[in-house]
Amino acid sequence: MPPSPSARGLLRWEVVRELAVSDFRLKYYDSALGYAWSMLSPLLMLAVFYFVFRFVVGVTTPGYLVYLLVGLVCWTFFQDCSYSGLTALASKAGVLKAVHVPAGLVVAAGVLSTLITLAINSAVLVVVLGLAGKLSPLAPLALLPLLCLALLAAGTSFLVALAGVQFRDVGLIWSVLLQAGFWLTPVVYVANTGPVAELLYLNPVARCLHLIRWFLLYDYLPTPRFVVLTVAVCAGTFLLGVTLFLRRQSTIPESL
Amino acid sequence: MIELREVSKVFSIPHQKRKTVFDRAFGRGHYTYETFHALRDVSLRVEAGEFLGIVGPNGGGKSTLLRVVAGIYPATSGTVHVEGAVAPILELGVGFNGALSVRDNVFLYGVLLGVPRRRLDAELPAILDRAGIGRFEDARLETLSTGMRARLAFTVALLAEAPILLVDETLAVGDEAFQAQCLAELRKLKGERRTAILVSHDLNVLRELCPRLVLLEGGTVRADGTPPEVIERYHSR
Repeated sequence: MPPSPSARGLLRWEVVRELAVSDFRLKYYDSALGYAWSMLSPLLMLAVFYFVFRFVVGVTTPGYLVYLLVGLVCWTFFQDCSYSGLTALASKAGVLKAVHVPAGLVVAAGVLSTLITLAINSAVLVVVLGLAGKLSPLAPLALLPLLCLALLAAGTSFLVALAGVQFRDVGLIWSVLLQAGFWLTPVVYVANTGPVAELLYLNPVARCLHLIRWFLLYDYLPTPRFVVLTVAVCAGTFLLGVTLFLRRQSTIPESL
Repeated sequence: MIELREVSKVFSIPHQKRKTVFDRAFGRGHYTYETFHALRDVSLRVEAGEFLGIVGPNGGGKSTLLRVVAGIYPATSGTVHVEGAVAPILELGVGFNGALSVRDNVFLYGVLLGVPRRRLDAELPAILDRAGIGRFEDARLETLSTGMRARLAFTVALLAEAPILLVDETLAVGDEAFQAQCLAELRKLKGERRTAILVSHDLNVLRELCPRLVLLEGGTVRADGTPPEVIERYHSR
């Protein structure tokens, strides 16, 4: 008796969840302290960037520390998430060749694992901002651009994973592009006006980041055009990534 | 019931060791590859309740055939028709991770094989009992011996309760007791009128379990018949 569509849907969700949870456990060794250790590297980066930009470069923007904190949390998520599909496929090649599990579920699990980290980091971030009294009353609205960033990163993850199946050096290329992207996105520096800013905000990651900071830290509204375009580009990237991946999905196990 | 009609599976094997974007952009000459027919016009019908054994030399297409039936690889041409859910036991304990606990590994491997999580939860003590592991569900999997891991994997794989089983060389791992246990389980499944395709180099096992054997060589069916006939053919190649 073949399983009903809803039973199959449940099974698929269970595969994604088990893969994501085990991935998350392996990353943090199943302990609260493991998570605390994982914060060490971003906190060190935060301290270094703050020192360099505040005292060496001489950035005078008020609230630069929280600006930097939000930027680093979001960028780290985009970086990890966009890479996660590629790593997930590579590490689960044996599984995909031995059981009948759609490759898309493996990529989805990789994405979900980085989303769990993002959720925890965001919760910590909001508590810290709240305690510091920096949280804007519009802060709940930041969930919209955060969702956009998640869609963008997930779509990119599917695209990078698909490219990685066909060409073996995609991992290397993507890590170089991410390095460039880090400096071409206003993560550690401030760029709000002028022709250069116009150019920088063509990048959808920069747009999401801009909106997240705007809602979290400042309490005035961005233009509707900016918001609508950002939502459209992020949702579009997600749909493109998933659609292209699903089209090639069945031949992925033999190509790994 | 499984029915394959003129099924072929072609892999393209690049001449270059790895294909890269760099090669595409800056590579000299053309990008060349060779095609390899892992299966060539294979037609095969396995009735419900039948145990079919497959023999053949390495690289003969046995594992590819199982993967095509399981739906892991799409066939390049021909049609594959499978009635009923399939449990592929192609590699024991695939997806096992030594750093995770025994419990987490059972859940992960179980859901990958299509066993609902709720059932795994409910049956965890029984699974550990049958695998002879006792109450070590919180221990890391790497603390278990290879044989114990194989027994655990086999126990979980049997939960898949699918009417069709595809078994690839599972019996090659583990000690004599484990092999005897596997054999006993397979006999029991045969008694339950399940359908199976068994791939093995152990001709004694195949002779006992399968009334019909197929010799697969060079991706084509070279012989199809009773064990004595097919084994004779296999040895006289």
